[in-house]
Amino acid sequence: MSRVAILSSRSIFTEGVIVGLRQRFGADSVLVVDVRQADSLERVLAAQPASVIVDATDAEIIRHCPLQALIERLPAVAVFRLNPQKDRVTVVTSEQRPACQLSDVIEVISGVINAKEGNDTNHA
Amino acid sequence: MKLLVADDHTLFRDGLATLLEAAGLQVIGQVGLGEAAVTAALALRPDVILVDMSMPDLSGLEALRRIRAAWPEAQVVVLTDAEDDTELLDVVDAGGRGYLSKNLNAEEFIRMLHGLERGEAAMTRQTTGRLLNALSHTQRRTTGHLTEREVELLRLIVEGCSNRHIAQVLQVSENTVKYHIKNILQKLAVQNRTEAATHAIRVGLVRTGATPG
Repeated sequence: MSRVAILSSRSIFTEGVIVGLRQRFGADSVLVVDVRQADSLERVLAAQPASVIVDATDAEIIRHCPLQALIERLPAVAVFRLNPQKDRVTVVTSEQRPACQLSDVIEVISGVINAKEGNDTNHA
Repeated sequence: MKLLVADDHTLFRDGLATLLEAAGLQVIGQVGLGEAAVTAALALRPDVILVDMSMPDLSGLEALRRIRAAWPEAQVVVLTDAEDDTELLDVVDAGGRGYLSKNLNAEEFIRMLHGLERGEAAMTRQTTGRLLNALSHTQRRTTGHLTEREVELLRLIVEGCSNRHIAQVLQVSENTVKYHIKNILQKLAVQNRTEAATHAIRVGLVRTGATPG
């Protein structure tokens, strides 16, 4: 089973990332999905990877495989959005909770803030 | 092939270097600033220098100019986030051997780098097409496709002749002179006869020093 799936339009940067991932995890653990193929999202879903990597600056990915579709259909996945133009990686979790009222939204935000502050206190 | 990579975004630079080495190419240096790119290029003398167009201290274009000024044989390929025709012309004018988008397909990218060894330019067919269009447009802007008569009249304008004098020299009416001048201004995309004269001298449409008539 692939541990990591990377959505790619085979650009310069993503190909470099693929080389690095294969060196670290082994070629069998890295599924490379060409985002320009019509069934790219289905291929990622079928692989059930622990994480999915996308290049945030790749227009092909934004066009063919929106992030929202990924996190809705892979509830346990962590999506890593790499931004080579900002030297940054953003981790997007797929955690979803029901929010029918504003109080639900406030509750969710409050829970995340409290959890973060708890972590900060523990690390102080 | 030995390469120097210059890009201020370390994540991209690292990804690029990893790709190049996996393809069997040798990255002999990595720098994050334009000035450092110039220094490293001249010190290391790589076969190819890959330079990012946008760097904080010195643009890729300026780095290219400085490298080529000190080392005319240097093969510099400019990488860009967003392709731009003016930028493309500037790179070609400065002696760049290539102009490539950072979103280019990796396989094609490697193929183009190898093409440099055969004397080819590192440029996609689409970019080459745009370059030809841009050059053609620039040529039109420069010469304006003036007729022989218009060039002759422009030479007289450069010499400072009045419309009446021009009419006498060319043996036409003043109205005809005005008509020709209007066409010249349109073709050269300038506002007045002074701008037309300046443009004509700058691009070599007419020679100065000739005497009218």
